[in-house]
Amino acid sequence: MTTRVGRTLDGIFSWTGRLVVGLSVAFMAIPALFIMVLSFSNDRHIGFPPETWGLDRYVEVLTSRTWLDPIVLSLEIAALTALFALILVVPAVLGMKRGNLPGGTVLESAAVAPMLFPIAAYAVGLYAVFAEADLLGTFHGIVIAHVVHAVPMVVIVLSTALDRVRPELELAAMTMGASRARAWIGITLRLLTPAVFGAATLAFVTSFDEAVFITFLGGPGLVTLPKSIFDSVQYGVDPSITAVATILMVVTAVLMLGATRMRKDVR
Amino acid sequence: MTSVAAASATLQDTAVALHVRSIRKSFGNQEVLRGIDLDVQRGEFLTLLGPSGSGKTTLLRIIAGFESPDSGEMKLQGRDISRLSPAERGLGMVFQQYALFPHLTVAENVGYGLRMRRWESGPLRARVEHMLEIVGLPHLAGRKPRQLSGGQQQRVALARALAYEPELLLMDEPLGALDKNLRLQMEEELRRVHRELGTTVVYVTHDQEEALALSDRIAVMADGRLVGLDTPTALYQRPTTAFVAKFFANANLVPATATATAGAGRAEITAGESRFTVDSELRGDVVLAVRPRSLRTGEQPGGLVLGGTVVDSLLLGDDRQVRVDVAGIGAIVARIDAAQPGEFEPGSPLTLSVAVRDVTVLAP
Repeated sequence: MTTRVGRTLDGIFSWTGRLVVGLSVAFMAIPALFIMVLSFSNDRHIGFPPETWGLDRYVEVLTSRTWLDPIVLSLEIAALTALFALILVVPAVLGMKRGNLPGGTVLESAAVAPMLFPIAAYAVGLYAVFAEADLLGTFHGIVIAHVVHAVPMVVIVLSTALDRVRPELELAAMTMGASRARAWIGITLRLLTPAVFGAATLAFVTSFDEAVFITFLGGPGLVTLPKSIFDSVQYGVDPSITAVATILMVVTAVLMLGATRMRKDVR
Repeated sequence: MTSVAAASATLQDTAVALHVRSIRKSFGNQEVLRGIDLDVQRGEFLTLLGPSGSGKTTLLRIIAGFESPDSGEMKLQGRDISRLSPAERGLGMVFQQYALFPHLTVAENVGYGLRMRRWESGPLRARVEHMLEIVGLPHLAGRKPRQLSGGQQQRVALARALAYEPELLLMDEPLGALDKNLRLQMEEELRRVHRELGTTVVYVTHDQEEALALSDRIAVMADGRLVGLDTPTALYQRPTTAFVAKFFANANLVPATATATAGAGRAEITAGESRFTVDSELRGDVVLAVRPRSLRTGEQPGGLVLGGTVVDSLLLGDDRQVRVDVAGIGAIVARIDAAQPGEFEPGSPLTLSVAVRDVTVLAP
């Protein structure tokens, strides 16, 4: 009797689970698919279903300066963000994990702390600081904000990866005649390479997608791709945004998938 | 005359592969090594044996160059190595968790030390093949470490550490991660490789059976000091301290008193009801070391007799291990023939005895 009730309950739960997961996937994927379909229309206004099909919107995006300039700016900021985040975090993580640093674990949690702040509240705080330091509306100001935002993720990815590289590997290389630097670069850093690429990708993508800091701190002169999409939606709808959004989604998805794949390879 | 003395000194020096003098090391205010003196002969298999926290691994890491001692000196084949980096010492090392490089193949792992020594690719490949044959894994050269079993990985680690013919091979509990059957098999393998290559080995373990099976000599460590250094047989049969007797041979320690009534070099021993004379210079409070296997059931005239009640009895195949509580002495463990008749249920009275020649008198 009780087993039958149990089995019925199991069935109900498992079907509810499937329904919830299915609905959330649909909820996320359908608007995205909708935009993708619309991006291949040549209509003058956005409308569903499209009356004409073609690649006009992609041609528009990749030739007009209204879209190309923000794309290039976003790519520059994202690349610099990834680079500086790595330059900061790689030595820091090695120091925290391998250097017998007193308070290393405290430092590690502190490095992850920015993740806990609501991003809008944090942006307000940064606004005050940037106003004081004359960084509002500057290129390097935005890079600094994005680096701060990316650091926790990079710390998490790299420190978990380093936990899987046993310290004895370096010692073994050293007994076999490798100098400390050679053991470090040839073994530890070599084994961390996939994680470094993964972390860089994450930093790149978060910066490339970032719309809050740029709204608060960018001012009128600095228009990144997310900002430009936002503006375009606000002041009359340019149908090209469907193509822009599609490009953004595909590039981000490919990069994230690549990063995940690389991290799996180390295991 | 002087030249002969000098010559014999050099001769002695060359027979010593590793010379360690007065090594001390503290971590914070914890003194881990309290002055270690040790000479390892060339070609010798020497084991550092001790419980965890005895300092054996720290000593090994100091020899390897991973830690620097607070004071003391170290020479390898007469060359002062105490200030050299691990790479400059030219040692081989095998770690408990294998420490193979996961991104390199078995062959590349074995060839790592040779590449660091800038070997040409021809001789390098030949040596790697030779080393893999010695450890019996030539067919696995192209595999990655994660595709190998634990025993195979440790054999690769051994081949890798020996490939460049180091003057000294250090091994840090290399069999600790393997299960018992594999461990016995690897012990045989290690003995064979040591016989074939004649490398000087310093081996760290906390397992006395492993130490017995492998070593030419065993250095027993306790609390940062060397408390015994001898061949396995001598340490086992004639321990010189109570700690060595207890830790190394699992001996029972029976408190007793020694008096001089029997004359110079002889002592009369009183332990409980027993009284007998042995060769010993010790006087006053002593302990008698008695190995579990030298105990018999029943009384033997003239020996040490221990009467008590059985606490626990364990059948171990050919042997039976009996734990007996003896009034005024404590728990005594005996290993007797399992075929021997008798009542071994907990609570039954049991008398054990041991011949005088199997009793070792030691300072408490």
